[in-house]
Amino acid sequence: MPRWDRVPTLEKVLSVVIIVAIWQVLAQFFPPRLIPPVERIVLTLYANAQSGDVLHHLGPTVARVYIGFAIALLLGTLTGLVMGLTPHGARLLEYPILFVLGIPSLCWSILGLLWFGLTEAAAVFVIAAIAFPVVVINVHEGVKNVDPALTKMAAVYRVPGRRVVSGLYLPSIFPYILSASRYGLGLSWKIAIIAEMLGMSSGVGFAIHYYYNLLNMEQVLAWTLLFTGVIVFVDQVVLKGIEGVVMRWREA
Amino acid sequence: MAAIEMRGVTKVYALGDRRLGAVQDMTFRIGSGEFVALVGQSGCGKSTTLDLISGLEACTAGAIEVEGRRVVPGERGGPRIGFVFQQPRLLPWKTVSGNAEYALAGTDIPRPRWRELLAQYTDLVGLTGFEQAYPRQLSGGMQARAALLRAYVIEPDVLLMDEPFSGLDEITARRMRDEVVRLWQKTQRTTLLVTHSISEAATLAQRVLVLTARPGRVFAEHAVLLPYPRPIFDAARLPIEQAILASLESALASTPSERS
Repeated sequence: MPRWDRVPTLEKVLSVVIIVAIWQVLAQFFPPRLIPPVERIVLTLYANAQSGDVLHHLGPTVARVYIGFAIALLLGTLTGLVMGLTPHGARLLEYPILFVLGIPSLCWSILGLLWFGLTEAAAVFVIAAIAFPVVVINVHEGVKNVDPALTKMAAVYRVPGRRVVSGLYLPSIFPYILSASRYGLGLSWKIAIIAEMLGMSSGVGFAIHYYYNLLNMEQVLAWTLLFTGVIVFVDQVVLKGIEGVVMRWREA
Repeated sequence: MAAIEMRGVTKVYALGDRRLGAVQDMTFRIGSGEFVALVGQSGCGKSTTLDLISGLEACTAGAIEVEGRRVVPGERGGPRIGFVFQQPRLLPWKTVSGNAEYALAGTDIPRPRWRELLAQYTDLVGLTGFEQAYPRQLSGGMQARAALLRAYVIEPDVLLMDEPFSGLDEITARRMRDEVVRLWQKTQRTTLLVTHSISEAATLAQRVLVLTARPGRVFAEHAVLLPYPRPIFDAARLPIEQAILASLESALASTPSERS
């Protein structure tokens, strides 16, 4: 995994500047209904923030993603631990998990809406269903990679099972949970948009779909930009922050 | 009462349809407070013997008692075993104290006593001031001390050492061996050391048991009646080491050919 935080800030800024510049050049050659200039997208976004639209739609999306992903993280970690720690768990669960992983996002959205109707539960279910197998596979992999020398140490010292899980397995698999969160949250955001387009009456996906129907390119791009910004923020600030705190012992 | 008593202990592993004898009819006694070394060639069942005594593995036949209590694998509240491994085997995400507490959590020592034990043994192994350090911040020698702390802090019935410090450089390893002798003299904890190094065994132990090749059993016993602390090079130890070496060689020659 590349450590982008080690790259000098100047290069990061430069990369953004170049992309904006390319967009602006393209905007000279195409009509605004296809490629509106950046300042108009940003101004639209600003107006949306002023009117309260941003909060109105971003709030529900963020809530759905976090609740859905939290469920996936909890159930996925438990399932991954069962697969890694019980004698038959892995063989019993391998095919079901691969099957669940193979179901396309769009199918999950349709299934969720058919099962739960146009409800919040549908969105949360779809997000959890997409992220769940990702978490399971990562946690299972993590458990397989727990150092047997350490588990033997815990066995010699008769450390109780609860503490073996909390003090040995969970810290060992934490990097795997983190990478599952990176990838799983990324998937969750994207599926949230699809689920909202198909069946919700609020959320970023709903907003994008609404403006798509109005053929309002500036709004579609303003919402896309906002949404992408949130994803990058969560990955770079929130997840990195958690990693920094929990993996303190590594920096030492 | 013996600190460790092995009576006709046999361990056979099943590898598919093959049966592999690791230990065969092993019998020995170690008195309370004794320091005994077990030597033998690689794969002679030395480590298996420690796994059996610490209750990680069940004997196929025979019985093991530690401080008069039968060792039953998986049983809580059995004898307390302090174990020093080849590598420190510290949890990297726990501090020195955290690692010691992890071992305390496996005992029936009440929590209010932990602090006192931690302070006492942290001082004893020379880690005062490093309680909150993470293993990664410590040198190899300090990590070995942290592993000793974990073994001593639970006030074990017996201390088992499986080729300890073999991952350390020569100078540090020697210093740690001196530490082990000093700690043993101070605490009088029964210690069983497994090693393939004759000189390590003869420098540290009061008694050296020589094992046969696999399946291992006790072939010969040598007393090392030299005062502690023992110098690194000592002419008085030479004949003992030669005798141990001779035992090891005849142990190999007399290996029973029971392979089923």
